[in-house]
Amino acid sequence: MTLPRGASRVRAAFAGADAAGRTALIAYLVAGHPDDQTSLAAATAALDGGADVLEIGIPFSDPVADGPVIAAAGQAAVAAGGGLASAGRLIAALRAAGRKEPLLAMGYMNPLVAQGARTALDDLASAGADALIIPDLPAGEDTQLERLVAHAGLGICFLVSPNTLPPRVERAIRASTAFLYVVPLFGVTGARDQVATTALPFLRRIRTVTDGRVPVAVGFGVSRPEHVRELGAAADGVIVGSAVVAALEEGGPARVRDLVALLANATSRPRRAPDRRRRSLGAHERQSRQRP
Amino acid sequence: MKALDELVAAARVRARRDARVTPLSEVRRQVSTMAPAPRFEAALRYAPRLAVIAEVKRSSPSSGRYAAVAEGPEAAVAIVRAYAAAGATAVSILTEPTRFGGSDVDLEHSARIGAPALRKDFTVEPYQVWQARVLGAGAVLVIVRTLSDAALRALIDAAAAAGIDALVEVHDAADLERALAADATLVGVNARNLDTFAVDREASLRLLASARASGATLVAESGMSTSQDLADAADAGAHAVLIGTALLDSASPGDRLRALVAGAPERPCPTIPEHPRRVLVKTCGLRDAVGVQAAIRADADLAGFVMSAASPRAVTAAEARELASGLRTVEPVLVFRRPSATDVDAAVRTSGIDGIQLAGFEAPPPWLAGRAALDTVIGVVHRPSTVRDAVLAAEAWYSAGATHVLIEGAAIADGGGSGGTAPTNVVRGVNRILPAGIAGGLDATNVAAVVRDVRPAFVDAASGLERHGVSDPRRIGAFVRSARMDPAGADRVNARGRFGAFGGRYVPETLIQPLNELEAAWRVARRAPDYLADLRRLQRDFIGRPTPLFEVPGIAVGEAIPTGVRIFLKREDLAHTGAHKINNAVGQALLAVRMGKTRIVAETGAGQHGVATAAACALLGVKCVVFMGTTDIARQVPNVRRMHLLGAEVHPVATGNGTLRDALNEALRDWVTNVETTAYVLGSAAGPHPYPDMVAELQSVIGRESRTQLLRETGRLPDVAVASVGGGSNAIGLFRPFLDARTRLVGVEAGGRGDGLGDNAASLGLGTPGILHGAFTMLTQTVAGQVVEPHSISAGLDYPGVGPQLAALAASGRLEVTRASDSDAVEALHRMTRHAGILPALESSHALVAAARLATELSAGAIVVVNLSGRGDKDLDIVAGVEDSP
Repeated sequence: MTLPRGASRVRAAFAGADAAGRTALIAYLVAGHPDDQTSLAAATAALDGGADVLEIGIPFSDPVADGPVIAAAGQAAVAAGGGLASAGRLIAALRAAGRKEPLLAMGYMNPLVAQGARTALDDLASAGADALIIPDLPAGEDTQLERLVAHAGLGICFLVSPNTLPPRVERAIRASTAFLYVVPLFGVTGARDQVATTALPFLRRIRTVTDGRVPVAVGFGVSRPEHVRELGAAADGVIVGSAVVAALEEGGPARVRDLVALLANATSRPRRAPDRRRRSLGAHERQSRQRP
Repeated sequence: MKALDELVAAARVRARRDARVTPLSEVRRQVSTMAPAPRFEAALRYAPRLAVIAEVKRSSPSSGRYAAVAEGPEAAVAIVRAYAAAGATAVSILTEPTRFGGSDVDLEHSARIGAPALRKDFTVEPYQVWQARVLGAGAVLVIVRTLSDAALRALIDAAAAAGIDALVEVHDAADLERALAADATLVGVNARNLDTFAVDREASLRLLASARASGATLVAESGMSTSQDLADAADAGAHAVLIGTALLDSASPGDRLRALVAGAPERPCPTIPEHPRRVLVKTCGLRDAVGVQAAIRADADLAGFVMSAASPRAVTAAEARELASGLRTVEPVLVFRRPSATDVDAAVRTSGIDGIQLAGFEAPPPWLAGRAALDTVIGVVHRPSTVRDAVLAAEAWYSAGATHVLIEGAAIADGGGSGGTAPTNVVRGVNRILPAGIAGGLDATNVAAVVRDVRPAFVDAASGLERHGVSDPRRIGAFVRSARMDPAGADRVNARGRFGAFGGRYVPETLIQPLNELEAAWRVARRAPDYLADLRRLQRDFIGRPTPLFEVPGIAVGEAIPTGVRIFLKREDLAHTGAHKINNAVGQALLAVRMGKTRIVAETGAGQHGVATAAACALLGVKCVVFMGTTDIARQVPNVRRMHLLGAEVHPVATGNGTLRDALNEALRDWVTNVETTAYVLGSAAGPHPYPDMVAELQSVIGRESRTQLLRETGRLPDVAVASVGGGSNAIGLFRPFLDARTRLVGVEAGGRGDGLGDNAASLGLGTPGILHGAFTMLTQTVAGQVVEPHSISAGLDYPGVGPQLAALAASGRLEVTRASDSDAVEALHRMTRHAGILPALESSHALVAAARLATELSAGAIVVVNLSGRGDKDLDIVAGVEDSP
């Protein structure tokens, strides 16, 4: 089974970072927050600052997986008329400006299915999105939607958390076409002071089980270079969300760029000893090993 | 043949491509959760005038582009709307894109308007038939010329299995013969030759005339544009005409159609009764008090007493009188086999039963016409070989005065009632056209599948209700319950946590394992003697169950309640803490303790669930944290105080609008963060699986007690059960134990201050499907999928979603949905307080409003039960505030 086009592009970005001796840096912003223009400027700034991949949050009225910063930003964007359409517009604007980096749409189920999933997915794909992250869609809950996502040429990222049992971890690995999103803590999005002590062992365990089949990215709580360094050593990518949104609120696109640049500096990692079991990232053939 | 071949090939490619995205298994699964498709053929066959099927297409190979239909589904929808308003009996929607400019989306949107829709395409694979069904069509076009006999049969079978009609199109006598041999019931005679595009009206009229005798429903297609054309078609025997070009070529297709419809000739057609909303159940061959009692307890629709002496189940007319005397609302029927008029008259007179069933006749006996005074006449059609034959036979019975028709597997010569095979294929096809019951070897083990597959008007069993030759109450009860199982699955949760299409588990991954653990713990606990003993003890001694069932005078409910209509209140307001919420809180708290959790979080709107949970936690010694929106805190101060006194921490939630849904969001976030130590006690029948099912089961104590109490008090089950619906826990608690009875279930939502978005909380009545708080359900939301803050004067109904089981029951028609406004609810509160000395909560008052409304349509002896879900002390300030305001 071949990978959806968007998934391949995402994986290529991970492969590129890896080849350059870095862990990939993924930045997250809420579409249309505080307004369409600033949002575009902030997204551009994040990419200029060195983000390898950008996640664009689809604003939703009831963001149950999000902590105060992102939830408030999302709800403000909804109040300003934002939603799936505004996320699509942001993605299209970035493409129109010539950005080639992978762009993911991250959003809850309801705005995606409200007007028909197939149309929503096609619209996102034609706007230039590469993949999707749906925090309230557990792998296997809606296999028809997973099929529609792939059919639209989009990749998808499923989440695993510390209490996800091995069979479900396996399921998430097989179903994730773009990358596997590891949440190493119990909780919602939001910057934390330090990486939880259990986070690294958990991340390493997941990485081992994944065995190179799909890139592994870690997120929720990352805000400082130390976090990036610590977690980045054990992952293929690090995701920064609330910290970027907060930076935008505090100092506009310029502050976003600075923060991202700071974090990007922390992404280089020491060369790892070659592991003969590890396969290189971005190898599509791996997918043919998966059950359809 | 070339153009047609190309179209067929292209259609096949399209179907195969679609099947790769949405496999047939997925299409069939979606169909299994849908309500029955509109009856296309029946609408044509039983129209009092020649029916017009109005077509929408953007172009055709013969006529080119039609300017009247712009691109985009909205254009198609606009035309269909105009057609429906202009009197079209049905519509035909082209979904073929290459030469006709059609699309599946046109059909999907147009089908929602309400006129039965035909999917006009080049159907060659069963997948396309199922696809038509999922898009909302009532019929699919099947062109004989493009198919082998085997393929034709396969497509007709697929249509039957998918629950839609097949319009089988013929052009010449050879086509017609093949169509009839394949047991087509709906035949379209196309005057246009699909190879040459030439139209030969005369030939088509001759072909129509030759098809009359077959009994098929006939449609004339192509080339008609004038009233004369319609008249000619009607004279030749057509039931309907399909018109496209003549309408789409005109400046206003709707007006053109109106003119044609006005000139459509009248045609004689038999008067066919409506299909019952739900399958009726007849328990036949009863001969003792045990069987009759069982039929009453199970709330069967009809009970049969066999009169024909040859049968082992025969009783005398006098015995039947005796047995039927206690039946109340179960309709008694005397079952005969080829009786004379005198036999029937004598039996009816002696037994006092005015319902009869007539088996053993090839055609209705002439003397039946003189017995119009009989309430029920069931005509039996014996082992018909084709659907067409069965339909003709059934029509003959209905024309002769029958009220029901039963299709039996037994041949005329054999006695019925002894098992034998039910003619499922034929009955399935018949019920697409007119209502017919089915009998033959049915029992509790097979009837649910037959109902789901065949959708009969009623089911009948005799030997299947017996054990060792006598009536078995268990089998009778099981038969009735199984027959009434909702075909779409709305009455029980399936292995995937769904009720029909609704429910599921749309939650962050972190909650999956806790939900799995909760589900596993619940599955064990609900059957565990120790858990149940603890629960029952607390229900009895802590909550104060059973709560009373109290009959109130009509005036306490409404001004114009007809005399003799009895209204009972189920007094959940008398439960500890003053509302039904305690039933669920105690059950879940007990389970949490059993699971070893030391901390409980809960959300609350009105505060009742918060108070109930705090009380249960205080008793069980568990830490309790309640999330409550700041807006709700301000309007339900007494409850907040109570929670504090009970030792709970109340966390105000100021995000969003500070109401129930924000509290729920915050509670979920807390649970996600503290998942190892904490249990989430969800307060309503909403949320991710297993909550809706678990809460429903815990609240079902309401309905179970009501059922027992009503039987004791009145000797029978209620006609109507009414409850207010916010999240749905009090409603599903009352309704669940009545799902398999004949009781009408009425859910009353908060109508707030109007029907505008955000003015009410009517998610079922005015909302649309969506996903919130872990479940696929009905929501008050914008078109773009943003949830809209609802409004209600009652905090407990102020939720933008609704429990998924209620959404499923509403979708399948088992639940009737209505709403009551803020002001009506306040008025009902005053009325009940002043005339019965009972102060209901504003939430419960909504149910009282609806009870008053529907009681006016009931007659003396009718029994209504209303869930008085809570007491209104907490609402005193609000009610006073309403009075003080201008």
